Amino acid sequence: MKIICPLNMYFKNIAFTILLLFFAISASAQKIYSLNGVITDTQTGETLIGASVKLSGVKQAGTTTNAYGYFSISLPQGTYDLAITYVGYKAIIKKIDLNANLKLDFSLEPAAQLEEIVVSSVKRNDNVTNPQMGVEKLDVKDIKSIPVLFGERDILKTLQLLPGIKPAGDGNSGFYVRGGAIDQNLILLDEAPVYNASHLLGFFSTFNSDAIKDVTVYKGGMPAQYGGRLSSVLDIRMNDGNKNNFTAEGGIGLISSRLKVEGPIQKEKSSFMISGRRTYADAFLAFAPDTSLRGNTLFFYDLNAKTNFKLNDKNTLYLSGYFGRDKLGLNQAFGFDWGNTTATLRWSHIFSNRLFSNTSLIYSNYDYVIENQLEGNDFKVSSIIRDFNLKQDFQYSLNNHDIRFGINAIHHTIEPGRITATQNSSVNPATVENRRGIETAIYVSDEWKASDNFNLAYGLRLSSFALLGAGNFKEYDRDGNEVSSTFFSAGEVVQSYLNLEPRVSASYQFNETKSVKGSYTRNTQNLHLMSNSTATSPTDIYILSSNNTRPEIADQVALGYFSNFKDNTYEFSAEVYYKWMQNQIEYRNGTDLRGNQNVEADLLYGDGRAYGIELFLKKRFGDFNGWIGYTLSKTERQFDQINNGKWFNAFQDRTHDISLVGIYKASKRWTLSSTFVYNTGNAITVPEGKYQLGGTTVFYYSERNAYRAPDYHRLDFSATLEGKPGKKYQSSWSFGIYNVYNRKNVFSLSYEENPNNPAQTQIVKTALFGIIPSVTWNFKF
Amino acid sequence: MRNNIFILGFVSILAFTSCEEVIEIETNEQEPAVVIEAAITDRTERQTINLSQTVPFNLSFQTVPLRNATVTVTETGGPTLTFTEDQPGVYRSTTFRGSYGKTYNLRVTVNGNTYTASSKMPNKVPLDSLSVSEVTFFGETRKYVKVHYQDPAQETNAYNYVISINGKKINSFYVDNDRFNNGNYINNTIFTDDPEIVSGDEIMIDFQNITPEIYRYFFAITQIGGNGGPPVAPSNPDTNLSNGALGYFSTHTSDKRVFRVR
Repeated sequence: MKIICPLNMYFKNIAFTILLLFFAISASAQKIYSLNGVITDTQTGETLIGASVKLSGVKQAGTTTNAYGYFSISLPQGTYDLAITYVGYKAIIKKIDLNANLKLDFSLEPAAQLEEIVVSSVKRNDNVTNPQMGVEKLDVKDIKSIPVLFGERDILKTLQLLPGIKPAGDGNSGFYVRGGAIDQNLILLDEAPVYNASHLLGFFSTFNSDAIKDVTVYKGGMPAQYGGRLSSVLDIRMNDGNKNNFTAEGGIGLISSRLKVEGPIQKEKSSFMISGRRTYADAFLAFAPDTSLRGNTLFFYDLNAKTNFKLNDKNTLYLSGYFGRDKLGLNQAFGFDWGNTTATLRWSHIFSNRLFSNTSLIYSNYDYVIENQLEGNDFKVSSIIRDFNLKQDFQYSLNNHDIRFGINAIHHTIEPGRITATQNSSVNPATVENRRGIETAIYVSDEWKASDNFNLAYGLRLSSFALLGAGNFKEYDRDGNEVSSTFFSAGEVVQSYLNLEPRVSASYQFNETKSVKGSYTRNTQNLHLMSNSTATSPTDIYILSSNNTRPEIADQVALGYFSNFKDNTYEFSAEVYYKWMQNQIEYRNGTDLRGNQNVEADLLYGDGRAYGIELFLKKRFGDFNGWIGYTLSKTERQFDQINNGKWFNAFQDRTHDISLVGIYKASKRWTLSSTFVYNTGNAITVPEGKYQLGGTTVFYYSERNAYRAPDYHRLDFSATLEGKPGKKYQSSWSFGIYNVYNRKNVFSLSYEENPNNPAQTQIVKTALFGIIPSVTWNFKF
Repeated sequence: MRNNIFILGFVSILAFTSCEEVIEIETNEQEPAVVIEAAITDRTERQTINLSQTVPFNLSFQTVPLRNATVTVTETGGPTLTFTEDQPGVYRSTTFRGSYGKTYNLRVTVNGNTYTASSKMPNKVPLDSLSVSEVTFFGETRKYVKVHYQDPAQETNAYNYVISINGKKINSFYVDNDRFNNGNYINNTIFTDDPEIVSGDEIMIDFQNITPEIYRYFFAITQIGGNGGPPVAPSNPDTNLSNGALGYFSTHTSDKRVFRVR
């Protein structure tokens, strides 16, 4: 069944629902004033995200700065004790008289570890009081001291040490959140979606940690302003650039070198940041004794840049971009390169002390090109996914309400595959039809401090998707046979979907240090990743929801207990979750994704479910800090045409998952850190029997994912030596050992004949990373 | 092919650390399944159908023939061929030649269960010639066999190259189709792994035109092999046989050529 309607009718439906936005909140009779401002770092002038603002007096109230360092709070007239705190910074405590609307900006001074004790009386307990659950924030400082593969600091790999977030494979930056698939994570870099967040076939993430200011990940209970993916939101913000001084910092490592330069353009008005990184594994190839190796290439680079202009007190413009590329080439035979490009232009405007607005224009692009230069068979395959994205977000604070509403429209273009070839080639030029679609969403949410111990965050997101012509759109039956084919002209709506996504979370606080929270979230997804491998691959392509493929839908409920103790030094949380997923996608056997015009004929649709418990204990302060995370979970899928319709374990179903992180400041100059991870092996399908076809052994496979790969575990160490303080420039050495006890963890398993006795068959495990030492020299001046 | 180079590319950087090891995973023993390997060719010969059973993964391979089966192949609107057990598990017809464009219907009854399949004999695409080419990867130059033929433009074609070196059949499947090169003159290299082809070797190629279903069957088997990173869950390839039998029923052409590598 196809719904054909003109585009303007489709928008009329949306216009109607905009009315949802305008709902009233009764104003109170008491005189209410607002306090707002921006919180920055004194040294760099960078805005601080998530800094805490607390007031006590006539009434107790608190808030945190938003992604732009801005806060706004409304309170009855009176005198208040104000405390501004942020981890790793000295607190500001002062008295204020609130008898008019106030705009106050603060700038915090970075603190040494020991001084934390001084501010302990105002240590944050937001994790207890905030109704938001399923959220994790990564401290960029932690990222810098946690050991990783080849000494490359990596946000995505550090995230994988948190409960509920699991790596896709050994050394892989792809990740699964609460039983979701890799493509069900919304990865945003300054609001721009990043489609392939990895370099070198998944071993490095595209995020250069030098350029990153803040990392927040939502595993559940996503606020209504986020949407479009089922499992998680990873919101990464780049540094704005030092507003006060010029600084340069960088590092020279075994695999890559990096350099970042930042500084003011016009003092206190505008600044810039530019950060680059390049690997040079291939540089060694030039010295290879074997001359044939010298023409090969294998490297990646990326570039982050950002600049901002403060037009006046009310208006700021930001422009940021990312450009990264991987290049792999075998001389005269084969070339392969791929990469992401993103650009974000944002205008922040303060309408009044209560209304804050952000308007963003965003561009995202991912593409790859494969070139085969073998004579007579040369060809070039290219594929692109490109987005234009408009976001308008308002934040409005009123009494005990923090209201957020806005609109988001994304235009997607997908070029699934274009094959070009020279005249002499036996390969024919061919193009798989482009696909276009528009995703729009309207949302509204309210974070309401209903009473001193009860907080409620609730919201609604109305998301719609329209698949647009031009092109031939086919419809397939259950067995993948073509039923019909219809031509649609440019801009015509082929299929549209409308989904209402409620988001509710609530917290009840027993006292200052203990609370329970609950949440319900619905998410939908209209972009689906087609991948032939369980690891992230550059040739992965996306398809849009269509007349055959319905939007994926996930409903998640979660309950949690949060408790801080020892004066908020320790934080403990326990969360249980249950997630239902509809319209999940798998392939039929023998699906060939390469240049496939009819890929939807090969898709199977089914359901998923995931549930588990996550325990987390973190020591936040002191010379020794770190955390322990444990997850007990189950992840299953059900497809009518797989496994006789019975539920089976998803590949990423890992029953037990433990991670330990310890960071110890041994002296003024030495910091030692270590991580340990353990998880149950992936659910895998193995051959239970075998037979021969024309003398070749073929395997007879078990039920889907009925077996377990060997357990995964690994211990890493790292040590950082800071240079002597007080010099004009600072430098540090980082030493690391990945996989200290040289555990041979499974990268892949293959089933093959024993080379010495072909009648015997065996399971062969490939382990990629044994013990790997690394050293990096970092500098800053 | 593409995938192999792909793997080669990044494995070269990780060569100093990656390793392979044989491991044990204890598997359950399943009920043996019926395996049918059936084909009708366009050669005038006694057509052969093999019936056997699966054996457990961790046991040494030995063929377990399925005996005393009733095996027939009926041409739609034509005669029925009866296959008789020639050796244990090996069933042969009288001399017969499959006709292009005709549909054949297989029926096997063994141990009280009946399995059926049908397949249409594709048109013949003649093999033009064979040659040997040298390709260099990572400083190593090796010889590979190339097949040359004209792909017909007006139809969808699929091919199976069965290659034997010095009388020993290579135990890999080399299937191809014309999705990317329909209607062109084709020069395809068969990237054989082991043994390496050297001067003086006697090469035999059985050049077969297969049906799209059988192409997909063998493509699925090669894909399950996991070229290009950890594969998605492997499973038994979809077959045209009914009732849960493993194997396939193929109708294909056959053009056998022998030559010696200079």
